[in-house]
Amino acid sequence: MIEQKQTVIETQGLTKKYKNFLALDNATVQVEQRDVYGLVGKNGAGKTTFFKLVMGLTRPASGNIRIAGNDNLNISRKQIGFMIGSTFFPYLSARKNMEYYRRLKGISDKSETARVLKLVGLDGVKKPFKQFSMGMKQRLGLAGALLGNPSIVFLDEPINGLDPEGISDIRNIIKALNREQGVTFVISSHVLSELDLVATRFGFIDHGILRKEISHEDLHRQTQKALIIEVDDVIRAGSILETNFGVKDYVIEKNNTIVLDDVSIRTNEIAKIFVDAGLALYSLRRRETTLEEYFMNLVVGADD
Amino acid sequence: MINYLRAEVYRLFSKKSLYLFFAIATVLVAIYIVMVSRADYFTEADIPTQANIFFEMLTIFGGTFLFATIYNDELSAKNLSTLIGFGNRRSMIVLAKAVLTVAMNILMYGLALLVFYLLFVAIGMPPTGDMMNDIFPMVEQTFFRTLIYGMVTSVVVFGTQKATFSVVVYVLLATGFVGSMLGMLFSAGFVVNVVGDLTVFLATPVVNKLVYVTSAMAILSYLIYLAVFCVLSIVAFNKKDLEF
Repeated sequence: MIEQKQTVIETQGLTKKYKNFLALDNATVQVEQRDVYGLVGKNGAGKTTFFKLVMGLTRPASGNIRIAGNDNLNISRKQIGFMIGSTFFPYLSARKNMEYYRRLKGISDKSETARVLKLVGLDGVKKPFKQFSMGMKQRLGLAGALLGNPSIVFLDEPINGLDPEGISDIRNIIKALNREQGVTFVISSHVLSELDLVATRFGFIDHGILRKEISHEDLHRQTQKALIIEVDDVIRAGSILETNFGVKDYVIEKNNTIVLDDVSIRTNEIAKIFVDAGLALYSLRRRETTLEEYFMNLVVGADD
Repeated sequence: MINYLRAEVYRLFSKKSLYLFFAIATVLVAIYIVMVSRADYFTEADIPTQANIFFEMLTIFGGTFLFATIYNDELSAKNLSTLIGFGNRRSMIVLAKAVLTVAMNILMYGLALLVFYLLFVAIGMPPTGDMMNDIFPMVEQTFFRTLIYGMVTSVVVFGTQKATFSVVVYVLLATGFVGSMLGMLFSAGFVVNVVGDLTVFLATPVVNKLVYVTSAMAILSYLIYLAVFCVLSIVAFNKKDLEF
């Protein structure tokens, strides 16, 4: 049975202007239940503006936002958790800051504070927030976001300032909550390689424009290593590849291009056999696009 | 609003400097009263005068500390973004702050009056009933003025989101600087001729009427005064983008 996914965050034509600067231009975003949605973009691309609009910190020039299928955002926002930097009282400890939020959210279960602090490894930390390291601040931010088990969690640059162990811890928490409790995450970051380890879908944003939304699988299909062969007769070329190299997984693109996932075959051997068989070999090259290159191509391509 | 008020009360009473401030203030006042009471010229009849000085100082120092604790801590911690992100209405936040300001000032002025009374009892000069009848209006006056200063400054807090600037504005109001400036401006001949007597709209005359006349109109004028600045705070806050 195919699981029907519900759209939990939906924006239609969301636009934000600051005087003459278009911070977000007609952004239509769909985040589905159980997604780990990675919002990727350079600094100033519009990620923070998108977060601010969804959270109600600024008003859109035009466009609509729906959270959990609800247009009444003051109600639906109560279902979300978020981490937006150091929004804690400097003179309170981790526990007291969480107790403040527990009361604010109207959570009656007093053990909730201890639960989230243990989850992020801050249980037992007595010192005030102002004495926290950057990593500890990020961890507390995550604890605040997860307080009360929200079904949707927004994380703005969650791994900023974290050491490798901290990055790994936060990644594991996100993965576990997504897998075990079905929590939907929207994570903004400019560290694409890290997002790649957790995100199930990506939204690429640049100059306020959402350039592309793509699933993790499709993104990797488009960036994985491959051999690109351009010949005059793709049917014969395919047959030769099957006969001589035992290749079965290849895709014919356009009229004269074969994309071969098996990159272990030597290109000089392919070239020799094709030429010997009388095929016109127009080009033979390896494709090795990293995620960063993919993003840059997307951005530069759009700018052109 | 109840959840927000519960959280705020928890925060305020978890702040160690709140206790420290009032402990130090009590000690300083105690030292001052002991010293003054030993002066040759000092008689029991001077107690109301000392009360006047004490509560005027409380408006400036205690009021500023309380204002900074209630409003500015949230700006510094960028907590307003969190509140709105959790789906709280901006108008609710402004109103809750007003409620909290009233509650905390009642507590501060109540405790201050108790401390003042007990200190004179401790040095063997308990204020008489007549003296307390003179002192109560002073407490009321400073208390009601403090609320006005808080509400006026909340427009600056919510409209600018600048913590230091807001405190400076509060101090200028509490020290009477703004009132004096406006008083001079409103008393100028050309202003009176063109607009009329605007000095009646200053905080001190409005509060004096409330305390000494206590008519329905005086109460209503005072409440309107607070309500106008409350509405202005909401309007200013609604127009403001928040950062994080």
